[in-house]
Amino acid sequence: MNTQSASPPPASRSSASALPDVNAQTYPYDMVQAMLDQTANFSMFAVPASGYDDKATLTPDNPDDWFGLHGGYGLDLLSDLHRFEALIDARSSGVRASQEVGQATGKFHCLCLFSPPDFKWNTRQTPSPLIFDPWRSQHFVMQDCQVTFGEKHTCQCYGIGRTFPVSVNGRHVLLAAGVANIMKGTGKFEGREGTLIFTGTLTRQLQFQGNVNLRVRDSEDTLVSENDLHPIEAIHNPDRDNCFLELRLMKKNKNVKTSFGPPPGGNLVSLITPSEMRSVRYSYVAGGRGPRTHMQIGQVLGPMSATVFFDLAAPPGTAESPVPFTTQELYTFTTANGETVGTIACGVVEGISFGLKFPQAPGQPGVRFAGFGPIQGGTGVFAGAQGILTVNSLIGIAPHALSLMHCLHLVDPDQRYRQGAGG
Amino acid sequence: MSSSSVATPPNVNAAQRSAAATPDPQLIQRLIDQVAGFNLFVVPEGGNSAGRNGNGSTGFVLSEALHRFSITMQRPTAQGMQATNVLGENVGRVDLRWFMIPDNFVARPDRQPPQTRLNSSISQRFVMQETTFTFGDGRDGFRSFGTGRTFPMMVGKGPRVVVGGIGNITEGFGRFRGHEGNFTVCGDLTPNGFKGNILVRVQDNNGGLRTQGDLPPIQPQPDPDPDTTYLLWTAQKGTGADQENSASFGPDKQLRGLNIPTQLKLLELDFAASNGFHARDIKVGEVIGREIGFGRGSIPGADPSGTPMNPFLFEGVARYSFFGARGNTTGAITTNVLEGRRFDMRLPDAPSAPGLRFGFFGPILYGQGFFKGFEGMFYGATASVFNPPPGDHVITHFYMARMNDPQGKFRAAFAREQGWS
Repeated sequence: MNTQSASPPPASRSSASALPDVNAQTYPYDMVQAMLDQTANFSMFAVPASGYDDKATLTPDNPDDWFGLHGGYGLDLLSDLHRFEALIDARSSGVRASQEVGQATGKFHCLCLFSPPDFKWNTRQTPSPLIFDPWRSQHFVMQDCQVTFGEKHTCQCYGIGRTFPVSVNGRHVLLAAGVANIMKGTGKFEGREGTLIFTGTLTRQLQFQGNVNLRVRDSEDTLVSENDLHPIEAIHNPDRDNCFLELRLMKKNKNVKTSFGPPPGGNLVSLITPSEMRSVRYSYVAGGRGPRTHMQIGQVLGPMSATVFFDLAAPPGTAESPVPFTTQELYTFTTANGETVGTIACGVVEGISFGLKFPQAPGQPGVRFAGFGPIQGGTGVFAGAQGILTVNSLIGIAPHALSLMHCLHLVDPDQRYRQGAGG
Repeated sequence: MSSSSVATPPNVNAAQRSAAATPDPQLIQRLIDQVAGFNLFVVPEGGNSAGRNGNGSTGFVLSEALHRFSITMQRPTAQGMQATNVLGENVGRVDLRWFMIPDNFVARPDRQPPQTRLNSSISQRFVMQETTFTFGDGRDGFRSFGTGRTFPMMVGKGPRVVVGGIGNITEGFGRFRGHEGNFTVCGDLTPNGFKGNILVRVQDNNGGLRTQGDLPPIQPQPDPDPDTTYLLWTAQKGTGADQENSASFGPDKQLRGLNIPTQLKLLELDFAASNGFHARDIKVGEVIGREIGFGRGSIPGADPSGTPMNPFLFEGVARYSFFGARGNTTGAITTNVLEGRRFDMRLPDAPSAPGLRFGFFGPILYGQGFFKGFEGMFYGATASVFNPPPGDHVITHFYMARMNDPQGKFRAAFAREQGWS
């Protein structure tokens, strides 16, 4: 995708011919692809920490200020992070994913303050209060967000999110998604660049349950393991109503070109980016030697086409001022024979991007970006699908290589997309 | 809500500043409790002259039966809290004209809303363009105007369009002539019309709506909604440090609202209409819990006055903790007031007192202790005299929780000898 920037100097864009060639090669495509893939990918499952709703508060330093009542003007979320692996199998009979939730490995804490829709990313300012309304889609700021593995390894993040009320068989369900940037790391995360994304459900106790994906740059390979990690120790699936399709996407080969689409208006351009979806197992451990990750790529699942809308003239995004973007995407799941099983249409409504540099390749522009948005509809086995898309990605600009970590969160009370009833 | 939601920020209103010299709080308490407070239950009979009911309808124009409705809550225990809910005899009719409206529509009695269709899968606003209550033979009653919201919700195994709404009396007739008051609606929009509770609070300074005599016993009718249970209690200010109001300041050091605690107490309301409308004095019982709440005006900088045409809008969050026999908290609910409407109220026997009356509703966000895992709606009707800290704050809330309760956990069996009063 990408949002913006990063790319070559915009110069003047008075006509389509003035747009930069994002397919040009500053460095060889394969080299850029390899650099983009130097990330540690943590796919985790958040389960609400038992009893925390009794302690949750927005004002821990002033418990007698009842503005801080959990659920009033914000949510104080604490979840246990578990290993999570979701392998997808696409056949003519349908698309099914394993949903293995494993042992607890850490904590996810997030203080979310609801904010007016026009509140912009601002790490130094608290939004003006907005009361929580479970029946409205609302924006929130992830004021204090932290992922912790053991005592030493932490990522402190800042981000933004939204709630998405949906009706599931007549039942009111509140989905939530957020995207955040690592502002500070400790232990193995010290000095790292990375992006966190989550999607899931707010439970009856107003705690978060769902998928959390953390992607951290790791050019030194100190987090990524080339070897298989010890197997997941599956626990009883704590979430029987949702399914998370984990995807790895990249271009099918270096000859696949990205093109500019019709300008959407304003200062924005649109970039049409074809890619190929694959099943993937994102594994990680967080033992005494610190966190380690491993990625195992599986079968081809079909094509994905994304149109990305962004301001080409914006300067590269930074932690204090990321560049926003939105997308419109179509996921087409096929069998090995190319038969279409179903499609999902969705788009990022809240996306942030950051300029990316490569010490090994000076002058090579790139973008780190993440975002989320609602599933708009589906066909075939995905007819009537509801849920949320999350993207957590890195790309090069000229060449336009892709390293995309996406998750399609499907509301799945009837377990249409799940392998095995117990998950 | 939180009583705090009604509060006007300190030092904003000159009238309130001068009100620090208003009469003794005990007198004020007596004055604001000169009230006809009563519960009605509306049972639909079908037939919507506005067209079809339910999903896709633009409004509800109906004449429905009003019933006496009695709620008697028992003292909380370690195991839980229960109340009897008794639908009583028919006491009159309610003629309503309610219409769905866009979220941004400014409703007024003289303004016809644009056609908006009910969508039972999302939350929508509606205007209670006219709701007329008539009691007994039709001589006593009142007309009203108000607004509300729908809340799609699952109760038991069935989806429902739950509604909350606040109405203000625009004209009384018969015994209600000249009275001011408000009511809060909570129930369901069903294919046959509105079904649910209306909690009414009518100021009764001269006692014309109340009787000191006995009311005829309630005549129980079949339960119209076994899957929900209504809990009723009151809240008033107590004494001591833990009952003092305080200001809440944001990170920018600016006042963002008020923290107001109250004591929760048992409450009994009753009325009858067999021989003209008569309500009993409200009966306030023992302390059963504590409220902690934060509230603020919904629109920053809005004029703090509240009039029938332009009520002051407020919102807030509160936690209601209920005590077991040993005084420990055994259950609690945290609620948000999404819509509150406040009206200035003059007390003839304390004309300088900054009187207020208001209604409010919102969801029960989550429960703890014996409320854990339960959902429902929270709403109420209130009167108060508020002076900013450290001035006196006198208040009587009528609080209601409508619990989604298909298993009957909160429902006590009705027997005539039951009751705490």
